[in-house]
Amino acid sequence: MKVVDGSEGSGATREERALVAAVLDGAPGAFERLVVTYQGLVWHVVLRMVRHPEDARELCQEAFLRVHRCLHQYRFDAALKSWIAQVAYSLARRHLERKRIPLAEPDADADGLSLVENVDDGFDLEASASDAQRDALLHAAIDRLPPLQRTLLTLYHLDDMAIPEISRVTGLAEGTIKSHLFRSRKQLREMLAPKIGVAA
Amino acid sequence: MTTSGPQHPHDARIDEREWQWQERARAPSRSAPAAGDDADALAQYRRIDAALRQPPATSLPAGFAATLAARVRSERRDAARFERRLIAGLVIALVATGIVLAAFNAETLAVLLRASLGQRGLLWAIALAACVASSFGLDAMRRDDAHRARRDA
Repeated sequence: MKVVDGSEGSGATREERALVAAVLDGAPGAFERLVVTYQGLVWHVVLRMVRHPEDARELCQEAFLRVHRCLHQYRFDAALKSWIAQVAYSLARRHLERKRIPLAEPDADADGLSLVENVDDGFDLEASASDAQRDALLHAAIDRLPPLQRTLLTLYHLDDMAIPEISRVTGLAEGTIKSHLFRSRKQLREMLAPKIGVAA
Repeated sequence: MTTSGPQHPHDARIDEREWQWQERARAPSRSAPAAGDDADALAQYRRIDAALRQPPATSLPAGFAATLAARVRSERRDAARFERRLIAGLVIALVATGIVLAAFNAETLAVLLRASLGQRGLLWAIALAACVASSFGLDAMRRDDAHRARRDA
């Protein structure tokens, strides 16, 4: 169980406070421990946003260097993982803006047609029968989602973050996040329902 | 595991029933569909949830954390070295400025100091300044030796 100072689930835990203090004091191994603890989360956020592994690696490095430089600004008002994810998200977002890659497709909620067409490119949908093929199809469809939707789904499902926590990371309103989650998952289901079947 | 739903403001574009299926599919327990559930929809959302829970195929290189920590240590050392050199440079500039000023205004300075401290006071002031300077210099040398020893270790 997490021990939180102040309100449950929103502030930093005692362990997080101790880790931050150790890093700020320059204790041997403390920063490495911080990186090991949060590198998975940062990798998920950055890779889901930018998709390109080489760019993602560089951005991860930059994100942790920024965390190291700015850690004294962390006020313990949110979980450390939210704060670190926020740093990673901001960097990845700026990277996409520099490359003029849209964060979210404005018409992504229309009927999912563009997604279907994209996924169709690499797959023979009618012939996709095996579980492996269906999973590959599903992963390709997830991969084709716009960066924002991909990242929100990843934070929610893979990193088990609650919507208010995701809101802190991305700066989006909770209702907007819920709406994105709903529409992305519905879109995936509608598009893939005839192909992915119901077998667990 | 975190779920959400009722605590968020109602969005007209969100079909609450379908949202609940999505959330139930995300729950760790694989309970049988409840009354009113669409078993097919639930199974499809469970498959989508399983796909979303899979970590990316690529990952950060092994030793990423150690490499990054070493880089941070090295940057910190460089910053400390730069700071030391900057302070030393400023002190040298200050002393040099003092010497130059004293050399150009030696007579005026001597008159002023003699007037305020007296002949004996002036000698004591010079002795005190020499003590402070040698103490400062020795301390700087000791710190430099210690730093070099740490770096070589």
